Amino acid sequence: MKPKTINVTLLATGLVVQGDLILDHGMSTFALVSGSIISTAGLLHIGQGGMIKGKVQGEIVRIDGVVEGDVHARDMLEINGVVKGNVYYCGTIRLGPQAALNGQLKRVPRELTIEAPTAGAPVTDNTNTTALTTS
Amino acid sequence: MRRTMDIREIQALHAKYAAQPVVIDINGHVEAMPALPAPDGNRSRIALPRLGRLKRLVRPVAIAVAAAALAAGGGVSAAKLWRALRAPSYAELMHEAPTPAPRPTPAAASALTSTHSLTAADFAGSASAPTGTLASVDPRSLTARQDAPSTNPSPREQAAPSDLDKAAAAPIRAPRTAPVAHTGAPTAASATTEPAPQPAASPKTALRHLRHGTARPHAAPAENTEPATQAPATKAPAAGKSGDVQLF
Repeated sequence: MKPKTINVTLLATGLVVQGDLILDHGMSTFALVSGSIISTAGLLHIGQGGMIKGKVQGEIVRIDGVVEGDVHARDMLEINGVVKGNVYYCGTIRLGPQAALNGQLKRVPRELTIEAPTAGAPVTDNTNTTALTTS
Repeated sequence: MRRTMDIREIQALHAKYAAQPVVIDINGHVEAMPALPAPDGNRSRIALPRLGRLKRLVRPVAIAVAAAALAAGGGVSAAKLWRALRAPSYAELMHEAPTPAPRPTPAAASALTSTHSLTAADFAGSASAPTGTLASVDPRSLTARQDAPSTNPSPREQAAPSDLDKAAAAPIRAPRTAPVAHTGAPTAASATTEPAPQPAASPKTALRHLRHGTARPHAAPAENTEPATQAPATKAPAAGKSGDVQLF
């Protein structure tokens, strides 16, 4: 069987994006994005050195950089960076040794991971973690 | 320490999380599978075809048996119908060949018509004679009985015998008639005219008299001297009492 090709968008270091990004495949960003990133399929990877100032939504979200906004993961969420905002996930969540969460963590149904709840919505879980520094 | 990822690592990372379509190649797996091990016992392999043959034979055999049963049943029914259709009916037989009605023997007739019960004196006279059924019948009464219907046959005698007459003609009633015939009192005319239920109602008394007569044979000659005109109903209890006293 012919292997399926994987489309990946790569935003390298030194790039600054002003605006929202909407993708139907995976993306790896090491750039500075001032806007929201919405990925409907694949891996949404915020690489180390990357920074997102906005909302991040994806099927599989891996955060190794810094996100200043809410994070919505519909399938899997791995955090080994800094998140300054609320985290909504459906499925599994993994926190690495570099994870630093400053917001609320809530496991929600899959449909609620798409549309962000309005401000003031009740969030049960409230987790604040500090990244463990590893030399 | 900050470390950058090269393109291969990024590609490997995305490939790691990429949802690969799962294709199950059933035919390939089946072909790749090794042959199944042979079962332990070959008996089942052999028995199954035999059972299959037997199962195949069961149905024809059952049909044949059912057909044979139906044929047999039909044959029996046909035979019964044939016999019922071909055989003359009872009315036809009676109409074509009317058989003469069996007449009751004189002994039976006398037994039917006898009004007095038996006494020990009746058996005392025939003590030396054999106690058989025919031996106790008086031939004179037979001749008198046979002559009477020939001269003046009554319509009732020519009719078919009833069940009561047949029962009266049975040999079991013959011994009781011998003493009566010996006295010669009843005739054929009186036998036919008198009612029959009287003798049938007193078999126990007759058996009791018979037992008394056999128990004391030496007392019979004394009673033979009594007149025959004496009432038997009064005489029998007296003889029974005397016999009981002597037995004690």
